[in-house]
Amino acid sequence: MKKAFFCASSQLAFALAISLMSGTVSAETISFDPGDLGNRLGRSISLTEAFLPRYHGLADMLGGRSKDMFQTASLQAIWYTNYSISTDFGSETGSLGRVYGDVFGARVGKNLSLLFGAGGFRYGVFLTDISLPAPAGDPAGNPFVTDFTGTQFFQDIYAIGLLIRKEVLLTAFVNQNRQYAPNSGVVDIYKPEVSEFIFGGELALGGALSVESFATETGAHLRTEGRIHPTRIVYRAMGMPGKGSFDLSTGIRWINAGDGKFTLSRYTIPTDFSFKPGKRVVLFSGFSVAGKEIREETDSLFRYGYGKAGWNLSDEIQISAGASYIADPRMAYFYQGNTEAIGYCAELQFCYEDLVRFSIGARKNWHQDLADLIETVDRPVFYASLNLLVPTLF
Amino acid sequence: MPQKTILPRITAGTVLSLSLLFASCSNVLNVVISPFAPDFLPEAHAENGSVLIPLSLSSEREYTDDAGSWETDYAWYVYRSEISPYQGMALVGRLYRPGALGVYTDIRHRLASDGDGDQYIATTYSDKDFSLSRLNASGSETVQNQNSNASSYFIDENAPRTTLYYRVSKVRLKKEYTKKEYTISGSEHIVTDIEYSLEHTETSGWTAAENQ
Repeated sequence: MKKAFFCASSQLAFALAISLMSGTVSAETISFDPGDLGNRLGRSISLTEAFLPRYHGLADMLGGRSKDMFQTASLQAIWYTNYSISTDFGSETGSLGRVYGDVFGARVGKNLSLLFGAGGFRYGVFLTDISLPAPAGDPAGNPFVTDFTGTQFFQDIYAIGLLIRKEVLLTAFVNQNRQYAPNSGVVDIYKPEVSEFIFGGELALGGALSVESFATETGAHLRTEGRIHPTRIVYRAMGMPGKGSFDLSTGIRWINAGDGKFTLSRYTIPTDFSFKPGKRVVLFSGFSVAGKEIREETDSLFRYGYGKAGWNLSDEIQISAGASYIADPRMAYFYQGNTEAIGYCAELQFCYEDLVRFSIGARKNWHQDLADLIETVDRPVFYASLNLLVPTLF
Repeated sequence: MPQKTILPRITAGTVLSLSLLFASCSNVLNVVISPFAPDFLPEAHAENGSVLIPLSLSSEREYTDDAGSWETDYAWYVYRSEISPYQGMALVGRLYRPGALGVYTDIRHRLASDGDGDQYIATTYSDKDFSLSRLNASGSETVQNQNSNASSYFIDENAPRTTLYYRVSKVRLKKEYTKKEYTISGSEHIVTDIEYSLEHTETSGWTAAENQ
């Protein structure tokens, strides 16, 4: 039965994956300042870092396929609450929300496959303590309203790629950043205050080498990252398919942003490992060596580091836990002058034959969360995640 | 795969993908990030010491399912603050549709047993008073209830002479039919529960009026 199910799954012409991650944060009220929210390059990096791994996952899925069509989608959301937000009428309590969603598709051919996808982030701050009290016994009860306040950010990424002989992946993508100034609590999505594009491209060879770069509309360079997976090269040289039980990737990331008056140039050397010593255990680890400028700003050799271990209690249940470190000079404003933070994560995951996966967990100061949104430092996040693979829809 | 099935799949996939692309992910996510965010602004005009707020109500019923459930406009609730759009909001009045006010009777059914242990369908009736009170949240009779047949404005006649902030919220009257099936002594009985309710369906952002 199980085998038959997997056989049927392998024939799916359409796969839909939906992940739902929602989080709430409860912490004492602190002042909100739009740290990363106002950083268009930071937001573009966050979006591509959420989007591209899923895009690469789709490309990996194509390896064993013949002519078929795939689609996959996801939705993730986190709310950080209890921010004290400055308004024209004084300080009010509100929330910072970040929602991510994407949809991908692929048309698989023997020598040439077409991949396409769209994803987006919606960031924003909104006031949550607006009270519209009804008289006692009013049959309609109280209405709820949450005003958008401060700049609202809409970000989209569109990508199209060609996978040639399932070895060379050539991708072009464009980021659209839109910003809105709410009018009396309302966002009119047809009237952006700012709308701009960032263009990018990526070349990946055999899953072992990749180069990715961003540029503005005017062609100014923003970021370049190159990665190499030496273990995959070794495995391929030995004629072993896949990633093996040990995977290592390393590279260099160079960020180069400027507004004509000053230029910010920073580089880091990210390295990631994964190791599966047995059937039950998976280990993940990584770090990023800081470049000269970041070292001077933080007095730290490392930009971040992390370690995480997963343990399969059974085929259906996995637990995992990890710890991380991150150094960032922007943290000082939000974290009582500290520029370093130790983070943790813990997760419990249930799965059924790769088709249903549900996980719940908690994170605090996890390096990736802070890299995406520095405003969230010192705030615990509790989340739940649901992933579904749905058989052919059309 | 037969050739004739490929084209419809490609077409369907392309249409779905393009529609999602053009819809723009972030626009779709805007609905998710704050479900209670307002999507319209009210108007408020100060005139001769009063503040006029144009509002409209419809008597049309919108049917919501095959069982005949429907909803219709009931009233606009108008809130005002002298402090800020975020603090001190209080209900100052309602613009109501007279035909929607009244006492409505919910009908519910359940399976019960009599003294001999025989089952039967018991029916209960409960009245809901959807008329309007003039009491405010503090218990004072200050709430102004105004008939929408008389004016397409809510007129805040007691507006203080200062800067005022207003929000409005539309309330809909809903009638819901729910079919239930019971089997008693081998025979099936179908009955219909009826429930009336009021619900705030859309709440505005805010507007300011200088009432000099």
